[in-house]
Formats: sequence, C-alpha cells, structure tokens
Amino acid sequence: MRKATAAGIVAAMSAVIAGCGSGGSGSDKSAVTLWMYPVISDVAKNKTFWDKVEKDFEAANPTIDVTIDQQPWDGRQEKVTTALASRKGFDLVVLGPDQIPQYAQQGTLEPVDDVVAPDKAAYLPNSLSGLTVDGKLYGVPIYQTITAPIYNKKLFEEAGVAKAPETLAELKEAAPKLAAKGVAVLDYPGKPDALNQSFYPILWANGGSVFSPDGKSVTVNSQEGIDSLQLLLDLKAAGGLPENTASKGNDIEGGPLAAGKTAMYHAATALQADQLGAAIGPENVGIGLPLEGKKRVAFGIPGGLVLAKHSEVKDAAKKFAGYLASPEVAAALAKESGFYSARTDVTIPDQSETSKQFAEALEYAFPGDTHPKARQVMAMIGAHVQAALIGKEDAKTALDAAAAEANELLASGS
Amino acid sequence: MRHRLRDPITGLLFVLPMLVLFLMFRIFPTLGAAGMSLTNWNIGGEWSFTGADNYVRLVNDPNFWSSLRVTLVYTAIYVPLVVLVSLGTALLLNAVVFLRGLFRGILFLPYVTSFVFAGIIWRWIYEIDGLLNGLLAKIDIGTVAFMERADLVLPALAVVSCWKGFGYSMLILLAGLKAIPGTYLEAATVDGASAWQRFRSITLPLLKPALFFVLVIETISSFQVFDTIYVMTGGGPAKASYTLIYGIFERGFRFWEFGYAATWGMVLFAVVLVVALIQRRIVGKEDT
Repeated sequence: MRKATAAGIVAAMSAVIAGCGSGGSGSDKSAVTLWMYPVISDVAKNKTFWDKVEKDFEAANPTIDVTIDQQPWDGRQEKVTTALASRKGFDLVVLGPDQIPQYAQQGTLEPVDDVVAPDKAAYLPNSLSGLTVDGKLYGVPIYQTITAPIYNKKLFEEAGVAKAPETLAELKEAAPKLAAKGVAVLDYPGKPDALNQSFYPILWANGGSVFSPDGKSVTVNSQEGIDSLQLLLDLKAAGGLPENTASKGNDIEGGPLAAGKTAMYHAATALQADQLGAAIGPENVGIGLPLEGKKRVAFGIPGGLVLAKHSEVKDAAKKFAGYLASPEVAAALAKESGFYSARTDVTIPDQSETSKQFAEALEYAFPGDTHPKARQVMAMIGAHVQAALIGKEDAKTALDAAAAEANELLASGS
Repeated sequence: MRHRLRDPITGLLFVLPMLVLFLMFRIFPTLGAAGMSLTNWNIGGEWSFTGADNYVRLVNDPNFWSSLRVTLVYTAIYVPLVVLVSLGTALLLNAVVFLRGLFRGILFLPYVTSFVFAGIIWRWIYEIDGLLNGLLAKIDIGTVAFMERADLVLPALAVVSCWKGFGYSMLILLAGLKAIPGTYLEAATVDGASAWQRFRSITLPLLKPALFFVLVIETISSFQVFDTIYVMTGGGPAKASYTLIYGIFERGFRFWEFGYAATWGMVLFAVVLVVALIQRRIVGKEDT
C-alpha cells in the first residue's frame, strides 16, 4: 500500500513538474511569441488590429499558435537584452537598424534573408540595407518611419517671420526674433539617449557622420560636427532653445511646444504633429521638409522583425514574419499606425493629410549611423553634447572628448 | 547522546530554507559575478578568460572614477539628510499622543510607493514649470533648473530618495525611542533638565545602537541608488548624477559588456563591504 502511495505521489509530482515546463510541450502546435510595440498609438485600435492579425494567421495556419505580447517602448533595449541573454521571452521582436548590428555581432539573432527572398525587389532598398549586417539580413521590414520638422505657424507669424525656417541658417536667423517674443525657436530635446531625433539630424544635414566609413573610428568631432553643436550653442545664447533643453525629452503632450513656448521641432513624427494639432489647433501646425544644411536628411527607419537565435520554432516564426510583411498586412498596419510601408507594392488606403505631408520627406530617409557600437557611442556623445548645453564645455572640447572616449571603446574591441 | 545529536540537525533544518535561499540568491550570484568579472562575457553567453584585464581597464577608466566620486558625494548628502529626517519624525511621532498610528502610516506611505512613480512625480515637481519653481516664483526667486545644474542635481536626487526612504529608518528609530525607559526622562525633568539636555544626555546615547543600524543601512542604500536616477536624470546632466550602480547598469544592459559590468559590481561590493565592516567594528565597540 505504501509503495502504491509513493508511486502515486511520484507520478503526480512528475505531472506537475512536466506542467511547469514549456507551454508548448504536450501540444502539436508550434508556439510563436512576438514582442510588439505600440506602433498604433490608439490602445483600442492597437488591440483590435493585432487580435485580428493573430486570428487570421492562426486560421490559415492551424499548426501555429501565435502570442502577440504588447510591450511598452520604454526600456525596450534593456528588456530585449535580458530576453536574449536568458534565451527566453520572444521568438520575434521589432528592432531598428541601430540596435540590430550589435545583437547580430553577439550571435543572438538568426538571419532572415529567406523570408524576404521571394519579394525582395518589392522592398525599399534602404529598408533592407538598414537591417543588413555583414551581408546578412537580420530584420524583415514591416513598416517604415520618417521624421520631419513641425511648426507652430502662429508663433512665427506673430514674431514677424513670414516663412518658417527651411534651412539651418534660417533657423539661426529666426531665433532672436522669436526670443524677443519670449519664444524659443527650437524645441531641442537634449536628453542624451535619443540623438537620432535631436543632434544627429543636424550633424547629418551639415554633411557630418558619427563613424568613419570603415567604422573603425568616430568622426563626430569633425568640422561638420563642431559646426552642428556650435549652432545649438548659438541658438541657446540667442534664447532660441528652451531653458531646460539639456535634460528635456521630445514629448509634445505637456511639453513647451504644445504650450506655445517653443516654435518648432526639427525631427518630429506624424503622431507628434497630430498631438501638436490637438494642443494648438491643427490649422496652426505646419509640416516641412527636413532642414537643409549642406543637404537634407530625415531620420527614418524600417521596423525590422528579428528572429532570436534561441527560438525553437524558427520555421513557424519565419512563416509568421512573412505574413506580417505581406502587402495586405503592411497596408493595414501603415493605415492604422500612420507609419509607411517598407514595400513599394503597397497602397495605403485613406491616408491622412498629415501622413501625406510626412511622406514627402521619405526621399530623404536615412536610417542612422548603423554600427555594432552605435548605442554605446551615442551615450558617450549625448553626455558631452549635454555638457556643452549646460555650459560646461565648448563645442570642440565636448566633441573631442566624446570622440576620444568612443575611439577608445572601438579600439578596445570589447 | 541521541538528544545531543538531534539538536544541531533540528536547528539546521529550521534555518535550511533561509540558508538555501541565501546561497541561491546571494552567495552563488556573488561568486558568479566574481568569476564573470574575469571574462569578456557577452549576451550570447560566449566568453573567454581575460584574467585581470577588466580590473586594469577599470583602474584606467575615467568614468569609473567620476562615478565613484559622484556616489561618494551623493552618500555624503543623502545619509546625514535621511538620518536627520528619520530622527526628527521619530521624535515627533514619539511625542504625539493622539492618532499616532495614523500619522505613522501617513509618514510611512512614501516608503511603499513605487520608486518609478515617485521619480516621475518629483521630476514634475522639479521641472522649470513645476510645483517647486511655481512656489519659488511666489517669493520672487527666479526659476531654478534643478535637473540641469550639475551642482544641484545630486542634492535634488537626495531629497527624493530621502522622501521615499525615511519611513523605514523612522520606524527603527521610533522602536529605539520606545525602548528608552520613561523614568530616566522623568527623573531628568524633575532635576530641571531642559528638553535639549534630556535629548543630548539621555535620548541620544541610549538611541545609539538604533542610530548606528540606520546609518549602516542608509549608507548601503545610498551606494545602491539607481531607480531615481534612471527615471529622473539618466545619469545627467553631463554625468553629474552618474553613480556606480548606474554605470553597472549601462555597461551591462546598454553596452552589453557583462564581464566588465561584473568588474564594476565587484568593486562596489568591496566598497560596501569595507563600509559595513568599519560600521560593524564601531557598533561592536558600542555593544561592549
């Protein structure tokens, strides 16, 4: 009797332990987990859209069980890093071009060339090249973003500036006129972790770049870089930047642009244009082409679905990635999100006027200086740009110091 | 004989759950971090033994020294502040006759609030257009960019951490105050001692063990400050609030250099250990 009881307990415990294991065990279905971010800002619409995607895909692929796990943008890199390091969390996740190279270099991602191979010619060339590392594609582009300047037209008119700035020189010229009315011309977000939408677009417009062409050194302290930072310091001296510029983020809602204390933001998204419209009235919002220095450059990236190397259901995950990149889903996603399709064979239905205006900047789209150490180098440059903005360093000293730190990092090979 | 043998085993069985948890979540990870600090571990789990390379790099890393300096300055601001606030509120609570439990609960509330929420709320308070600058404007003091000024950011963060953390120390000190026999104070009052004399000559000496304990835990917590900085400043402006823990986080989870991050962690461990040992020595002397 005691033996039978013991055997029963062992059997029960085995069942419990087995139950604690992978959710996929005991099922014939391949369980694919996708970490998705709020690319559709309306929570209800976001849920409806992804629920439909999941339902439609599973109906067409009964052997695959998809879980779309909605994640916040905040802390994305930390969470993705933790998931990849612990080999848990997701099979697929959406990443941008500046995040992918290092993960790929560390051997945590699986190439996905075969997913786009059948329709390769249909993708925007920049969207594929931005997600390619060492000749291998690590992201399936499912959308394309773009940024462009947004203006409070009324503030420019009130300051006697007939035409909102279209070049960096005009921006500098307008600063004192707006400052005289108590308005900072540029809503510059100096928080050091998002230079792609603050300092870098000015650097690129001036013809500069963060890395040398071979990627072995940092060239942010070139004359173009110094001119770019000096422009910001000149604007600050002329009252052209908000008082808390060094530490502020680029939130429109609750920020100085929405409050009418700043007049324009040079690297906004279409969503931010809508948010500004809600605050100051859509009729007062202007949308322009990227500010011109030596050239026009707009930060715009493809959203790439990347596949974790640790995934045990790679084939099923690739099938799902292919479905998300299909013209039908891409068009629906572009319509709901306000982003653009990374494919040329997609027509976005009922595109808003704001989206159409932002689409004009697509031809200037640049996915940023992609490099395995791009994020580390950004943190170093960001801290020194911030030091310059609070008056601790001049433009040359700040960028020389940033370049020295970054070059040491690149040379260490760590 | 049998009775003697069973006693230590029974004792061991009682402490076993805690011992296992302590080994699993404290000792083994510490040993793991020590081992990791001698490698170039990356997020793919690949690594090779690099000997003391990480430690050599750390000694020559200006970011490490500046973050150590920032951490020490922060500790020098935070610890006296939180001890004074905890002691002050504990003394007030001890003197309150009515609704003491309610006041104690209210004062303890910030301690159970999420650090992230507290950070967001305090960021609003410190904003250029925030509550504090609004109050300063009322008394004709111009706006102060608390999060922009390298000289103000650490005191501002210390105030947030103090607001968030004083409740726990207050309870410890309150318990210490309750343990002081009322007859001592009554006798001193009868002898004509003033309130300050009673505090200095009776309350403070008898409160010393509790005060030292508070000093130790608050010193350690100041070395581990992270959440407030992550939410409010991101280590800025210009690394003025870039502490050791923030440096470890950035090296591990932004730069993905787990081996080097572990090296920073081991040094922080050593610093905290030395401080704790010094403290223990002082407390030990007080006990004898």
